[in-house]
Amino acid sequence: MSTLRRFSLAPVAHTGLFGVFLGVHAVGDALHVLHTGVGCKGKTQRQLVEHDLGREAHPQVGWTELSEEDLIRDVAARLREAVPELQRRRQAAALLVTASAAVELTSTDLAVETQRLEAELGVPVVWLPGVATAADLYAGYGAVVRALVDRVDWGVDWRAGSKDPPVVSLVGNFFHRYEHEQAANLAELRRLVEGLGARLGPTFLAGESFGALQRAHAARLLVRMPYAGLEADDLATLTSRRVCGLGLPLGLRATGVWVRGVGAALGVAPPRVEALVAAREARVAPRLELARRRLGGRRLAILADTPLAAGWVLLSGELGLELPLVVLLDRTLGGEAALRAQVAAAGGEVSPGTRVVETPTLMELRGLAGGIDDPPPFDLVVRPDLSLADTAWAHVATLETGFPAGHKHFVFPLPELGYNGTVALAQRLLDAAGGVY
Amino acid sequence: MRRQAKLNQVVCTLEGMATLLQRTPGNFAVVIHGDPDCANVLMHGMDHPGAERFFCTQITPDEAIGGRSLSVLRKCLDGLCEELTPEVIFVLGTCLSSLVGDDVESVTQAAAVRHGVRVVDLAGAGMRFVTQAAVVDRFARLMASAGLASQASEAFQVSGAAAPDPRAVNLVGFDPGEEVRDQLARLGVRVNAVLDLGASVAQWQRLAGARWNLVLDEALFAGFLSDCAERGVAPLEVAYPVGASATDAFFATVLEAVCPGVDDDAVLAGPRAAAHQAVALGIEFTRGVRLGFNLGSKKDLNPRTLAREGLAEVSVFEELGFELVLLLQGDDHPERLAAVREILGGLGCEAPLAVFSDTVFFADLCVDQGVGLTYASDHLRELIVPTDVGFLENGALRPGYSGVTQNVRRIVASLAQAGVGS
Repeated sequence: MSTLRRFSLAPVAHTGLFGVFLGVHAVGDALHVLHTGVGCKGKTQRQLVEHDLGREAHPQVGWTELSEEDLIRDVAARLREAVPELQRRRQAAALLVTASAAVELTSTDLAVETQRLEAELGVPVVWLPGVATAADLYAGYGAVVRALVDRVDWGVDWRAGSKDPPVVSLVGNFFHRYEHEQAANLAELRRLVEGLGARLGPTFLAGESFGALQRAHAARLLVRMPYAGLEADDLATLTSRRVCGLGLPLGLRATGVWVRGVGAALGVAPPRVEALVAAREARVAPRLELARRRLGGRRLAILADTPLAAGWVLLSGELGLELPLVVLLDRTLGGEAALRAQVAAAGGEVSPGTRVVETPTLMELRGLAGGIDDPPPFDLVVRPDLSLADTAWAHVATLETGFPAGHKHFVFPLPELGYNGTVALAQRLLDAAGGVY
Repeated sequence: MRRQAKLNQVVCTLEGMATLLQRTPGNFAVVIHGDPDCANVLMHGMDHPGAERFFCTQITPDEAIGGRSLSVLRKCLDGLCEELTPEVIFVLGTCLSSLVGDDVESVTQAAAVRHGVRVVDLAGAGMRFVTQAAVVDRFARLMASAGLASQASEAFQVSGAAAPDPRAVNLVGFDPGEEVRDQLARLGVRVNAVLDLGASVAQWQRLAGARWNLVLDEALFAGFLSDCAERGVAPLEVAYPVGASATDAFFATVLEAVCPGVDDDAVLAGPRAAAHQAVALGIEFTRGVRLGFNLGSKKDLNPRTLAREGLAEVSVFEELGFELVLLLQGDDHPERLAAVREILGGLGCEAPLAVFSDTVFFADLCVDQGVGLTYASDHLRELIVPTDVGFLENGALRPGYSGVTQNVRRIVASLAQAGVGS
């Protein structure tokens, strides 16, 4: 193996520190406090500004701007000084504090310091240790989800509120920008839940306020989604709620699995669930068939995080696409084993002819589409906006999705999840394949 | 030398140099010696190429504590030299390497000897603040080593020294656009190299071929200009050619120095008259409107933004009769404000100053100051939306005479959109 592999950057090289920022940005009124040197500011808002046209991220991050002198004398002093001032200015509902690796190396007890700050300020001040050395952004995002779930008073009996319809909360929704595909996804998930006679409660995370998330105790059922940062069993232990762990409802089959999973956990009569699935599928399937006529046999490459890739693998099968390559861009969401398990859970399989590449380096990924002058080995690729501009990837018809996405922006609520999302993605694939937009 | 960092955002050396190196095409590699998160100072994807030339030692806490971080750096440099063929390798330290006291220079020197490849320790990382201006100057000096034979040993190879052309200029830290470049050519001034953000190493290697380095602010490039002057490339401070009067001043300065006595009417008279006419028309809409000119919010390492402490474009609004107020981000300690006033005074700017300590107070300040239009950093736009204040983002103004008409239209449209002066 190349010596350089260890030192090469990942295609999505953001670590947990950025993931925390992304998570905080997904809570309408929270603030991310960076207890770091001056250079770390650029690791947060600047990375999101071209991805999210919907909301300026700047007001949701503050920093202590540690100097070397601070580091030598008293690492916590700047935190004690800066956080109250930041809170005076920003009036956040909750503050989530992270530190750089260098600061954490000093072994200062920042947990105690943040507890003191919480008592002083009267709002939650949450210390998230170790995120700067976490392997990817999803680890940081999951840490935020976990911390926020942990702040809910789950001791309140869900029966204390209205019992009918039952409330379902989603935990681990990957909300990465305030654009309309995110709103559309949430609307799709709500539609699915309501189809089962339940009501969608607070979603971790979907841009809701910290206060709104606190009302999640009203949920009778929690649906653990793939970006939750904790397993279904742990979530159940933490919340004393029934939890069902499901993959992304992306594609016809995966959406059916999702509906059946939630329906079963809610105790909805199976005939009712099946009727719902059948009715929705009957609407969608003919449209997919139209797309299949054009897309069938084309070669698709998928570059995505593991849960998203699993959804795409299933959808590609439904559209008759060949799948020579799947590249998994995350480092903490389970890798190839999880991909195969998630696909299998929806009754599909990763074709033996499909090459699955886990966590390639950026250099390796750049070479996976062959030489820049050669005919591309794929007709279509589903991927985020990575540093591939001057490689053969740039010549493959692209459907941009996931993070980061600098080119694809949504001013129209076009979903990716649920039944409508399935049709919308088929449409986008058709457009990409046809070279028309 | 002006007192810097009083008006502008500061950076760390890692962030500053990495950002500029990422934007510079050329056959070099960059090693970030620190924890994996430090690679996130780079922009990934989203039309920001260049990250593929970056590597990170990805030091773990155990390696840092156990004193093994330098051996990891050594291994990384060995791998780079054996598997790739960069002309030069730059090594950037981080807070972590600074904290554990790594002697990066000794490892880079040894690697250079071992492999016969130039390996340059860009010392200075850690938690020290540096000004954007200092980074810009340092970067220019580094790149100049590609084009100035006297410094070739520091970084790039020089293929051959060109004799400076007395009628040639380098545009350092700004690009006045195709129209101005074309007009310069027609007036007998050859643009030898455009050394703006994103200029390639190949462009920098042309540096010594010109007699003049045109800059918007000599103080911004003090070290670079000194290096160049020793090699026969003289500095020439010019106005940024944006707006009618500044464009007049730009051409007057350049022509007087580079080709004195040349009659510019044949090339410039028509566009110049049209530009001044546009100003005369525009002023009917803009005279007396209060303009909030934002300073101190940008961290883009752009010499154009940093020149004259951010005031390089202020004349556009002055000639349109706006009533100027400077909206300065940062603390309002009396010592800082005194220093800022002194700096501004030195630049001939006596406009009133208002300070906002945090971005979230920007809109309120604009309203309190009675601002009708603000020329500000783009990330402040969203904060302005709920108010009746017009917004024009910093960098939106077009250079050159033909840009004047477009600028006036845009300014008037921004005012109209906000309901000012309609």
